[in-house]
Amino acid sequence: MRFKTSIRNIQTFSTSLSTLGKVAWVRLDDDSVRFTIIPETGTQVWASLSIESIFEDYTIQSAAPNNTINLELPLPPLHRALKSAINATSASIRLTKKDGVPVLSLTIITNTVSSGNSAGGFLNPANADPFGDNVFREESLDANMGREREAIVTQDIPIRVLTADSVEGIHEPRVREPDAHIVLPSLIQLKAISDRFTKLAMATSYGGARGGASSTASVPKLELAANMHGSLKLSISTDSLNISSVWSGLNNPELDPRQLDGENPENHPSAKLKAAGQDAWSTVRIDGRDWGKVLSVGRLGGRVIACFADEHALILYVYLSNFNDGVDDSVLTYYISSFSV
Amino acid sequence: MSTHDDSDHGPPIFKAVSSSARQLFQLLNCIRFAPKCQVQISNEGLRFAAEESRVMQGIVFLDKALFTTFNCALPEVADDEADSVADLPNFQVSLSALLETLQIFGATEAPSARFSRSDADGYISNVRRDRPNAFSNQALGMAGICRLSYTGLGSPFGIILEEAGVITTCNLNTYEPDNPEEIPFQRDEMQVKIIMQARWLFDAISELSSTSPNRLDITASPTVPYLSLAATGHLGSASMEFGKGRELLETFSVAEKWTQSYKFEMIKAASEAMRLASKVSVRGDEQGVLSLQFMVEVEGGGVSFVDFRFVPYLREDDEDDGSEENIGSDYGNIED
Amino acid sequence: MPVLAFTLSPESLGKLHDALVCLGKFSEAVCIEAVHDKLTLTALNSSKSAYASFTLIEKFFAKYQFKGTGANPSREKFNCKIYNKALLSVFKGRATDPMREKDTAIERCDVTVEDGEGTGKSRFIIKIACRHGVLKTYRLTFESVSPMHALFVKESAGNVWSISSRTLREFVEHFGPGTEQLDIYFEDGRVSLTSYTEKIMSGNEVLKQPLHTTIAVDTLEFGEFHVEEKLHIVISVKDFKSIVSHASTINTTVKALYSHPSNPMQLTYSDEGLLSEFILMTTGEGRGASAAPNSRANSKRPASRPALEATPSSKKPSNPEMRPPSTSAALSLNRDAAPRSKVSRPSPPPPQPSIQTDALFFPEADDDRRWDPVNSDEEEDEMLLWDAGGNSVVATMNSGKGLQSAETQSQSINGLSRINAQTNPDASLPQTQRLAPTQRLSGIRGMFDD
Repeated sequence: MRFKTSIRNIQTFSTSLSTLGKVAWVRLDDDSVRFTIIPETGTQVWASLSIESIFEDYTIQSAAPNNTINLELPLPPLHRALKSAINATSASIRLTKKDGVPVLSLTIITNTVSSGNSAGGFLNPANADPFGDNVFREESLDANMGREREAIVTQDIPIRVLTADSVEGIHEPRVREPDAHIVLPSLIQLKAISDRFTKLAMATSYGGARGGASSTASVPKLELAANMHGSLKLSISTDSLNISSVWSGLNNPELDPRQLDGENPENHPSAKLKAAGQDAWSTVRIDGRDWGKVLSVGRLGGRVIACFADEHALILYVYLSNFNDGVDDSVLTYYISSFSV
Repeated sequence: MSTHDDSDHGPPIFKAVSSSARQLFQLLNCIRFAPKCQVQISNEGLRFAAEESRVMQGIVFLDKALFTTFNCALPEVADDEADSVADLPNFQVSLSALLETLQIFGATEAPSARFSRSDADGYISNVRRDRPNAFSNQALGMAGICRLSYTGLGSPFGIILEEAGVITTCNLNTYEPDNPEEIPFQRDEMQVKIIMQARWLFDAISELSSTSPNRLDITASPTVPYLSLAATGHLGSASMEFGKGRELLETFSVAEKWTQSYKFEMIKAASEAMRLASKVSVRGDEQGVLSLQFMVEVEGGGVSFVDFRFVPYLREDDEDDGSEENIGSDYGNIED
Repeated sequence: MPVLAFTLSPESLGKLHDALVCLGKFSEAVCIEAVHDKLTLTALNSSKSAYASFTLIEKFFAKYQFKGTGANPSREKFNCKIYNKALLSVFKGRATDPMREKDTAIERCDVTVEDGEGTGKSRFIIKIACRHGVLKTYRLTFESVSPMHALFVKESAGNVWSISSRTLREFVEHFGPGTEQLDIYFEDGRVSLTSYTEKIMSGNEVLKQPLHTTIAVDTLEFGEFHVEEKLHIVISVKDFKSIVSHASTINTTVKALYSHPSNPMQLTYSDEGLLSEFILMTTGEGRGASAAPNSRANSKRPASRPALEATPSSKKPSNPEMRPPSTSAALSLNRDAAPRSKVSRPSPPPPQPSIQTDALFFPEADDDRRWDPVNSDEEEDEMLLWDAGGNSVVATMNSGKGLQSAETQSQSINGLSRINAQTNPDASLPQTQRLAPTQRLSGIRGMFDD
């Protein structure tokens, strides 16, 4: 079993995932890298990334078909380890054993302050300015000096190698055809407002309403709804108020006919909702805190399409087309169940 | 559920538009020590009052001049002023909910130091280049338009905020008014009046709070040190003396030495006003009631006032047998 | 009648604050020792495995006057012990606070100490005059206690290196949270610094193992470098981080001196008028051991970090300059407790690096925090497993912690989370007890580790 690769661009990705869970199941094979997070409660994430989007010089080998390797990987140490690579000149990762314990070993070569040039990290696209100072990097007359003033950082992340059997039974959730699909607005704005709503609901149910009928001692449930006429509505009700924010002028993308299995697009639930007009909404109720974590994916800057199955589930597809220019087959799928009223 | 439909309550008797939710937030935030506040609507503006245990009171008056439009169609009342005050629309709302709503678009986070730190983890640069502004809070808009409305008894207090293509509608449930009497301040028995920069008071109070004291002693005297604030905590004691009275204190009118003690946490609850205001008028009457009037300069000129009143600890040399901690009883002694 | 009076410039005030912050990472009490020409602040940690001291010489002060109580102040000494929290609240980081406007800035800071022995009038009085004319006066209580000074014999320390504090900081930033040991090792012209934890875990537990980090650099990074090859010397990574975080606030050179495992290591650096000295107990493989530091097979032994040799400096010694006698006394004491051997002795587990410690190194951490979950700070203890039952939804639901999180954070930033932990500081114990080796504490270890 062998796995070795250079890495690029993985840090923000790992940050986004680690807000949802502490451990990911990672499946590596010849064609793709898949990160799956299945917390006991809350949102599941199935992230399928093209190899080129986060790795280069990728080598994988195992006895399993398609050279598949399954790992259980703690995300916070991964994220922390990758932090060391931000200003590095190179970073690579390999699967190995140290003293009998399997680890993902990250090797980072970084310049030290005293040798200068520590700013020109390769994982830092802002520094890849073709006119920047790094193009004609000045070297010391003594060639050895420059090369030797670097630090080699090794970060060993503990992991578990999973057998094929143990992951066999884990499948991506199946959800019925959605009633509404819509491109989400700026996630940072959506997150800011969602977090405020959650806070508001918590604040007013604990301090505000004296003697009011105490609603269930639970995390506030946000109501999120979309219609097929470009509107998204976020709302919450508490003892002391009800509040809603409405976005309009959003895009309801066309369905890809190939995915309809030859069905008449007019029979699709979303077509029916559209026909029902602007006041026809498809609604889900979601845990405010969990939703706030999901929206952390905004830091990746991808395009996000939300699919609503009324009173049932919300699925977010995050397309990381801009994650790495020219590669667009990386997608993160978030499965969020709706709470009942 | 349809939450932004106010048609079911008839035409509003009050409607006002502010061009800055942030401004309203900043002023109301000064009295956030209480979970609920009393709202009174008049032709002159909105009065928000919060109080705690009848020994501390904070009042914010939002003058109609703060609003771009201010329509108040109050029912006709008799000319007698006392009656008209009683008949003004008057209700309670959750203050925390009101504040959260006003800052739904991030009103308070703008000057936060958190985001001015350098991007040491290199994250900013990984984000789409064409959206750098998404990471400055200004992009979320600080000065959002804010519409307030109230239809009458039993109806909610409505707030509509518009910002960057998003419309947020909030209906705050209104509750029966619970009109506590004002803490009486006897203007004609005033013994101390000092006007000074509010931030000096802020600085002194934050300095003293580091000793985690229970009690704040305020002493004003006609001679040096003029004004002194002192507190004692378990790690030691601290005092702040405004010894250069003439330069520090804009108005200083103290006839004889005046010393009173207050619950430190109460005075500290006015910190936000001390921070925000430009000037404060510190007044004390014969009974020891402390009045702090804060003058806040609002964006675009003009001033607003935030008033606090505090009942002192019963002084040991007073006649009653009440313990020093019995802060409530002193209030009862005040003749109104 | 003050025994001591000194005046600090605003700049020195800031430096004093930084030193107090650093001392606070070792102990919650600060021992202050004044003699005619210098003031020394020290802290010894509870397991007596780390000692920190800052010596402020006359140059550090705008004015320094030690009056003493006797006829010959130059031979006298004044000692006291104060809660660091109290000092920090007075000398808090004012200079760096942009919120404070110029006219409330500090003009002068006068400190006087009145030692009314037995009269209950002992006070540490700090008067701060601000530019706008407000006079702030603080009166702190203190305890008259002789400080403990850890001993370090330079002559027997054959290993020495020195390095820029900034470079050191850069190294330390690679260390993740949760590790306990730092191994320093030199071979073939390269030095490696390894941050690790010796916990043995199995099954799902392995995923909770903290990051194991090694930084390998050329000896050229160092100024001075004379170190025995293939010698593993191990110190507490938390203590090391505390030192580096202070050292890196000034552009200086940190010098390390040590001999062999189970003997102390000394780290020193200086700034204008301020000398910093730290003495840390070491563990590690014996001389010439060939095992790699990351060999987990070798590391199955419990970490052994004996206590430092320490000597009380008596309150009014007839001759404070004469140290040798007490040195040898302490040495022999130490030998009694631990015969010269490399045998591991149980000792208290090194303190876990706290969240605050980590935060010091990544204060800017997450500029993009707005993406993070609102209550992310609640989740530190979440299980690292698939079957994470730990993050009970019910618990988080009840709490309304979302609102408090900011407050909680700011409290922990102050670094004063243990205010109540030690109402009866061990300094009040008879000195003989304070000198006891750490076996006594080994029982405590059992409670937590088994």
